[in-house]
Amino acid sequence: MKYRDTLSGLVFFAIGVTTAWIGSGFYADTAYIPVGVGVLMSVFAVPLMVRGVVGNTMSTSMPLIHHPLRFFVTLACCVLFYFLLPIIGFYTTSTLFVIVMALLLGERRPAVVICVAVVFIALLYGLFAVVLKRPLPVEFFLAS
Amino acid sequence: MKQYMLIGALAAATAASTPAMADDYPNRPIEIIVPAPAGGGTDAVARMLNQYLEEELGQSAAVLNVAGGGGAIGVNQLARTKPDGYTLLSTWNSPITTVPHMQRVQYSYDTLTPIISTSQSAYTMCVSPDFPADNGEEFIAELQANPGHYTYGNDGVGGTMRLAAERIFAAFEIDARPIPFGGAGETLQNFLGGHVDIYGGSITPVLPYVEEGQAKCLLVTSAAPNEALPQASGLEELGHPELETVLWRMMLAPEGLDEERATFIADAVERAVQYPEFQEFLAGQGETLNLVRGEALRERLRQESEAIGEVLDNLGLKKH
Amino acid sequence: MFESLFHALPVALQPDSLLSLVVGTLAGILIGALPGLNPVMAIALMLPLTYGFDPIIALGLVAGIYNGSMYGGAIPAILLKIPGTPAAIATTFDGYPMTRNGQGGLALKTACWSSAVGGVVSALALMTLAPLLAKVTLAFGPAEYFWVAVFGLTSIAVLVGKDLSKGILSALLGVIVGLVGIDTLSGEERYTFGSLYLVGGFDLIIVLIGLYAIPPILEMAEKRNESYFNADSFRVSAVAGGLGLLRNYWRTWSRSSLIGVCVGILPGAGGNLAALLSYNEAKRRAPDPDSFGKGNPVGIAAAESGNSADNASAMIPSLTLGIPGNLVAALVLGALMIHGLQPGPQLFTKSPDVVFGFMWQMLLTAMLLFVLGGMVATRLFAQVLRLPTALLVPTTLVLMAIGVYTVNGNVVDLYVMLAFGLVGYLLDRLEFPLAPVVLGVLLGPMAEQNFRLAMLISQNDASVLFTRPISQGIIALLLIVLLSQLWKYHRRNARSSAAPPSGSA
Repeated sequence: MKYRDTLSGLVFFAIGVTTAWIGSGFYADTAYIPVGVGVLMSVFAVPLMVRGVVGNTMSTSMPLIHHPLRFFVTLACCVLFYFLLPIIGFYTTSTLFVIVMALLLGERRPAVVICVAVVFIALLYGLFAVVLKRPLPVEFFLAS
Repeated sequence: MKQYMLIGALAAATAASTPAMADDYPNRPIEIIVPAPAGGGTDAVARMLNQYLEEELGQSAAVLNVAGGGGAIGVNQLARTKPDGYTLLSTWNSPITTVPHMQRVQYSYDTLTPIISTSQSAYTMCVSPDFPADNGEEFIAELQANPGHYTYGNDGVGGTMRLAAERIFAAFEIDARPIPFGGAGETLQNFLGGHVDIYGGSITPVLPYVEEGQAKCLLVTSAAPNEALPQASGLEELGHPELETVLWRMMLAPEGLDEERATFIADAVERAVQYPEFQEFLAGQGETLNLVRGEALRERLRQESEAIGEVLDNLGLKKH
Repeated sequence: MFESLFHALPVALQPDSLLSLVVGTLAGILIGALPGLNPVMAIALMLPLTYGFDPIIALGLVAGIYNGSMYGGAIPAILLKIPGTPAAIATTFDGYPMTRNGQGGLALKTACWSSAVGGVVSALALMTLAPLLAKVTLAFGPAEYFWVAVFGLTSIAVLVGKDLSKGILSALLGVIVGLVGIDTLSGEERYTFGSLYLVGGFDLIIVLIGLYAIPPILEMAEKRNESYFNADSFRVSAVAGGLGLLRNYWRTWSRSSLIGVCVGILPGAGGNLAALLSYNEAKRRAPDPDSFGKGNPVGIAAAESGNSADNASAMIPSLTLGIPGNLVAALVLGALMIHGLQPGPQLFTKSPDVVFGFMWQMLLTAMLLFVLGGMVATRLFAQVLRLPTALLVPTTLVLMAIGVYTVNGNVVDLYVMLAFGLVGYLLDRLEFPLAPVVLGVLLGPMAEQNFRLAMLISQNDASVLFTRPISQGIIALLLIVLLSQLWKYHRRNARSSAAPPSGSA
């Protein structure tokens, strides 16, 4: 039994039914495709569920997440990065992000980390601020 | 002595071009939100104006295209920014006067700081050469005689063209079927391919086909006729000048922008539009200058918004 | 017409035109190679800098960036499994496995040559057949576009990946994502759940970066100690010569280029559809279809010549009719208008040197790729892999943040990208193919809108979808693809049900 197939089949079935159900409330021709797509999705989710239940016992051995700690550390750093971007500015946050993530992921040579971070941010600054003049979140020490 | 005079003259010139301000605005690059995709007509005019505006502001200004929702997405985004004069909006009228009647938005003409309007142009309606009409009056008569028969391509539900057409059709009791395309380019493609009967959209894209005899334009949505389309009648000629619905462009800022900065920007725009290269460009686009500032601009927005609200209500298009 | 064509050649060969081509192509490769930056944005940002110059310089830059980025997108697709541009999705299928097998150099070389070949074929089509092909564009009305979208979506859902129902579910998921937001035909909000952010719908670029770039980065972060790459495989000496490539790929190249040119003349479809259709066709025709997705260079040749062949031909409707075929074409039109040139049928007679000069430039930049592409990619970008993974992960994440932020200048887009990244990661682990999701977001709205437009025009007479000859042709193609694929599944299932499943495409 491939429980993953059954589960993902169930999730798709639920999405399909919800889509069609919400879609049926739309006005006239705005409802055609949402309902159609929702119904189709629930129909195609059925064989997946069935196969998961009655299929042969061979199952995929790949774990969903190889290394949960590093996975969630990376995610948490991203969320923090996005949260701080508009508050303390693009270039400052990005420099900190690169340094902190590199250290957390196990790079233990501070000189390498700082060099790469500074050169990388300098390149970005050259490209976006000098050449392309693209506005990015303003640094906290420059905001008026 | 001569040198001193030169310096004095320079100083005077600088003072004239950047009026003395309490602060040193603008001291960093300005961001101009254009609520339309890169490459379209609104974008082209905004970018063209931007070049000269940068000179006049003495600061670089970057155009940021935030398309979608008939322009509402970009205006919403502007409405959420700080009113410090570093984020401005370069828009056409529909996102301000039409879209709020049809969608939930976070702004209205009342909650944005009006700076200055820049230019305007009319829309046109064109048909293929074998269409049984040769001027505005015959065009209207042909449409009246065949209710529900003809299809006209337009720029979508919240589009100014669609509104202009519906106002005219309502006044003449015409029943034509609107086919909402993504924009003038798509409408033109479907009109040339014979998939719709009537082209409804801006004048510039269809102009080459009029010259080639592949299209004849019979109506413009301004009161006066248009020089580029001699065959087309203006609305005054048809007895309804009050139905004029045109596309016009303006510069706005978020609510609460400092009066001094607003005046500073309006002055800069007013000087920027005087560049001959910009005026030449506008003429090529079939647009004419139209400068209305500050509260007068708000009044213009208010009047148009109310008139359009009424039309949409009658059409049953207003948001429920 | 051919007289003016040759009259314009010296214009395109002027030193300043050539310089703009070289600069544009290099910039294009760079922009394409950085995930998150895309050619549309780059051209939109660079064009204003050129207003003061001769139009041919502005157009040279556009041509360079456009063709260069189409190849540039393949570089991270091959090295990191992250498509640099939407059109490079199909390149990841075989490109990344080749890198893992130590054949990264060959993969880059194949991508470079294939891009160049596709670009050249497309430019030749633009030069010789533009007025003729423009007529084809006009013959496509809403009903025909509906079928094009359905054909693209169905064939990719069915052909990519190992599992029929998973491919279809992926595609449907993409369509649902594409439905979110204001409906352009009625102005009604759909699936917005009261959120003002959702009113605008999901931007394709943001969905793409999330789905395709976040999962490989997370994977890299998880396995940071393992050495992935063998940087020595990128040494130029490890790469086979050009004539050998030509002999191996010329059939694939000609088929894919033809597909790319055909997709290009239809406004709205775009390079990623061309690449995926080309990939599918190459896989279908191959004697060894099972080797696709595991590092078969023919897959790269098909994808890259397909997407590059879309480029110049997408300019056909915009130059001949004044109707932009994609966003880059719209920017070219904008540039012409700013220089006082009115796009449309008279452009060819009024300013032949500019329009034919631009066509030559499209051809020249494609040829420049032969020289610049290999050099830049192998000497410069492959070095990126020498960076420790612990640094590669955060720097790539910063690049992606810039890319997504610059789309709309909105921080919320970053969280949305991350959310799509998690969805992509899960789907990938559950062996759902991701390409159909992206195509669903792109083609779903195209299918829906054109279906409803066709119904509006015909006053709800559904026969309009089946009576016109072009529609019937596309339906026939669709049936062929579907039936042959169903037959294959049937045969495979009958033969053995024990074949171990391998990583999804």
